[in-house]
Amino acid sequence: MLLFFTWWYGEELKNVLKYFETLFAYLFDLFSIRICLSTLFAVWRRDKVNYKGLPIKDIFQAWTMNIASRLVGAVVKIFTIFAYLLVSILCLIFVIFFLLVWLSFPLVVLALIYLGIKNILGL
Amino acid sequence: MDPRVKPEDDNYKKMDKNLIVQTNGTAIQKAVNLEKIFSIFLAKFIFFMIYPAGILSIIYIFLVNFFPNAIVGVATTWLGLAYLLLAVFLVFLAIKSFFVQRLKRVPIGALSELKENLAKNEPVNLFAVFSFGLAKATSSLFSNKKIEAITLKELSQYLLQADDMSFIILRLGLNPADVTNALENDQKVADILLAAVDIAIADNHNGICSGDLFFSLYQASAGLKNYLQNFQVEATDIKSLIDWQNKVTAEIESRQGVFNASSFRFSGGVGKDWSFGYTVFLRKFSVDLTESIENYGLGLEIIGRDKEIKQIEDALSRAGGANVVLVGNAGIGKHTTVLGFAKKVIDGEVPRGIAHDDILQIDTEALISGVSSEGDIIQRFSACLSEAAAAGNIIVLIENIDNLFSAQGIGTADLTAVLSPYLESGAMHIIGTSEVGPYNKYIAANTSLANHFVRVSVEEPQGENLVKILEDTAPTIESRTGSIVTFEAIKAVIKSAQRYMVNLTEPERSITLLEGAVTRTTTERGKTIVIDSDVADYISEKFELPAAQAGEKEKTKLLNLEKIMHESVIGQDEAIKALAGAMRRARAQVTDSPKPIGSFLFLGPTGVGKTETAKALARAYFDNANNMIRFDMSEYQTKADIYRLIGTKDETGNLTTYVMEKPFSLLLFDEIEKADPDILNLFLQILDEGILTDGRGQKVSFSNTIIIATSNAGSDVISQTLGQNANYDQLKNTLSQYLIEQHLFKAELLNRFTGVIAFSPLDQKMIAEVAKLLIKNLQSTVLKNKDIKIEIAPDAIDYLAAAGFDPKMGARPMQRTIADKVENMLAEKILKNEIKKGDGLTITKEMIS
Repeated sequence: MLLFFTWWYGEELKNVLKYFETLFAYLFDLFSIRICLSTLFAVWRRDKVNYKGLPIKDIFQAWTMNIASRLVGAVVKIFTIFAYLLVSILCLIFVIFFLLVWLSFPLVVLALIYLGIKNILGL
Repeated sequence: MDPRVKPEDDNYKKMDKNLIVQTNGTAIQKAVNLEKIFSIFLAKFIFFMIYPAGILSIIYIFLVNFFPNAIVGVATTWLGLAYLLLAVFLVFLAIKSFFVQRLKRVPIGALSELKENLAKNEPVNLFAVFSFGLAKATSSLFSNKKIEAITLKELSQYLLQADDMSFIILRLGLNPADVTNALENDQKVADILLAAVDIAIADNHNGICSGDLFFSLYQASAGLKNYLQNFQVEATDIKSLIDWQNKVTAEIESRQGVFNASSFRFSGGVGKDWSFGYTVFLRKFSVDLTESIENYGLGLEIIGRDKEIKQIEDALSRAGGANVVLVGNAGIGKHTTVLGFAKKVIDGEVPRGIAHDDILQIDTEALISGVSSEGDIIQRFSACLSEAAAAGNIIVLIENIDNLFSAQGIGTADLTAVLSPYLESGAMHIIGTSEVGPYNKYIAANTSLANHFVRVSVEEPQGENLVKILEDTAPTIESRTGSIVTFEAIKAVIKSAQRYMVNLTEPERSITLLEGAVTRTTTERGKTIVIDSDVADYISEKFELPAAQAGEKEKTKLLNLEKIMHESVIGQDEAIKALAGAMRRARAQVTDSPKPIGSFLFLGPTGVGKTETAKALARAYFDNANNMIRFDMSEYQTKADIYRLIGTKDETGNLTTYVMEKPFSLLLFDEIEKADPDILNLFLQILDEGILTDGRGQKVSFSNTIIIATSNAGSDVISQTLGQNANYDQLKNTLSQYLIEQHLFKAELLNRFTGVIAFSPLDQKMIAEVAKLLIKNLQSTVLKNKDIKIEIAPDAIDYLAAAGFDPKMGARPMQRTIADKVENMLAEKILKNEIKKGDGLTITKEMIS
């Protein structure tokens, strides 16, 4: 029993913490947050119209299209960042809950047994 | 866990050197006990049911507590049961996790700690650092017996029952009982265990695994070493298998365990392409390598290419951009190396500038498909490159990139001008592959082109790496064919591929051979275990070689080869003895040289039996007369004739084609001294290395040929020297000296022959024997064709021997004499109906004189 609890609150807890730390890093990578932040207002997919050699009347049109391209990119990235934040918050809530259960595992098991017996006996 | 045992503990068994083996109280024994419980069928069933029960209980409790309206008429009993089930489920998960993650594994550093404690003369419990497989197999042994009472054979018996040992034993093709019997009982188990600790530490194992203990037994037991040598198993083979087995186990273990941080793959995420351009057009004419690797499941492992992958990485990470050409022969693994690099790119394990880039392989077939002119191809290619450069995150792979710069180009379009600007601008990265010859011809020779590429040479994998590649490939073939390949079969594949497939490169030739041998053994022979003799049998069939082991009929023939050959050759004992010896050595596989089975130069006057001896060997040994080819070298007297032998780029050569089709054959080169000296130089390579390169650059192996060259050069010397009553060795020396001094043959050519055989002139007695032989042939021919039985009187034979004897001309005059005297007479009688079918005739001297 001692070995189990030593492992539960020692080595395996470290593994769990490392796992969740990696999970958050993974989410950061999955939602490409670094890219989103560093290129927030960059032209979307390098879809840029060159001004060089364009007649004056078309330059304004090109400028507008480029702005639109940046806006499209920014909107997509902002939505992605929001999605990341939402998922991260949900994960964080889950992780906190999980860690609480982990740390109080024996109590949780006892509580479940107590609730189980209580409900079966109708107390 | 501290493996030290307190002295007051019960059940401990003292040994020398403070080594104790106690099962009780160790974590690993607990794991073994739990495993026994888990493996009971009822337990398995319950554990199987616990998962769905646990998940359902979670859902039920959640719904009852948070959405009570969703569950109408909740009975508290059910809710109570759900709570209890959930408790059981959680406890089960915890115990299972504890079992897999902790109990079954030896903690890191436990072995080193044990060694330190031993050095401090403290008692330590070795059982605590046994791997799970070893502990499970030996638990009952160490529980029930004192260590001093355990013999090596007993230890071996239990050890060989370990799950991980069965992998090694099966791969070696051994019988566990025979392995145990081979051991002597003269060593202490304590010493073996201690040595196993050192082996485990040296191999960076966390605990003592079954393979470590087996290797320790092997090292300590001369009997076991001798036994394994019968199967050509050496220490390096066992080590290799232990590594293979541990790798497989580690791979399985790494996928177990819920909280495994290394299971996350960082591939750049959903937005990795957002700041880079579109590549719609390019993707129509390319294959996404990065995508195909992801589909592989990222279980791809590239062996032995770390150096090349690092070189690619370094080259592509240079400021200003660079491009790479992987140079190596076909089948050497250039594409596989690119895949290994691509995997690192996917995982972001490369510098940031190229991390998570897409690697697109240009599909040249798609590029030229459906176009009507060169201009269209150029346009397409240009558009692809333009898109790749604009995108900013593309690495373009072009296989056989030399084709772009050759006269043939792709679909005959020369794409040098299209590619050059992109190479110079550094706007994109290009990885090309090329074979050595074309690279040197089209890229290295063009300095401005070569400057834009970093050359990465891809070498053939050898030794350990090649074995590991086949070990990595074998499971795929095994699962497809439902078979197991032994380690000896893998070694046999490598050895045979090297010997018989000289024209291909590793690892392709070994992999091809392995696939062929396994498929054939499983489908046509219905076997499930492929051993080295199966590989040898496959080789025999594929290359039309004699069976790996000589059968009884062939053994008898080999042992009586001299007698068989003397049935058609008179005298010339030295020559026949040398030939028969070479054949016996080859078939008994006494040597393993790549040189021809035997190469002989027959020297002597005309008509003494040189050519006939070669033909006699072919008749005696090869059942099939097609396994001999004769080249009259008087037809190859000019330099240009060399191409008739080895071929050109457009035409095949007589010699090389024949040997490629029939690797096991006899090659007879008559009157070799008449050949052009450049042609004679070919023989230097053939006789020394057993390889010749044909006009197309393909290598042809002569390792399974017998080469016989005949020459009349030095005939006078032979007659003179024999006239001086010199012995045979003196004759050979005099003859060799003469040939070199007279520049008839170069010394380096003569030295390369297995034997230079002098044929002595035939005396009258031998001529008489020749006459009898020729008459015998005539008798069987006439009997077969005309059903007439012919006998010849002794005086007739004497007459023929005298009439046909010419010491200078050998046996040829005898053939003419028999034709004149006997055959003519027979022909007349047959035509005049003086003898008919079924008749007999005795030929006398009077009839033929």
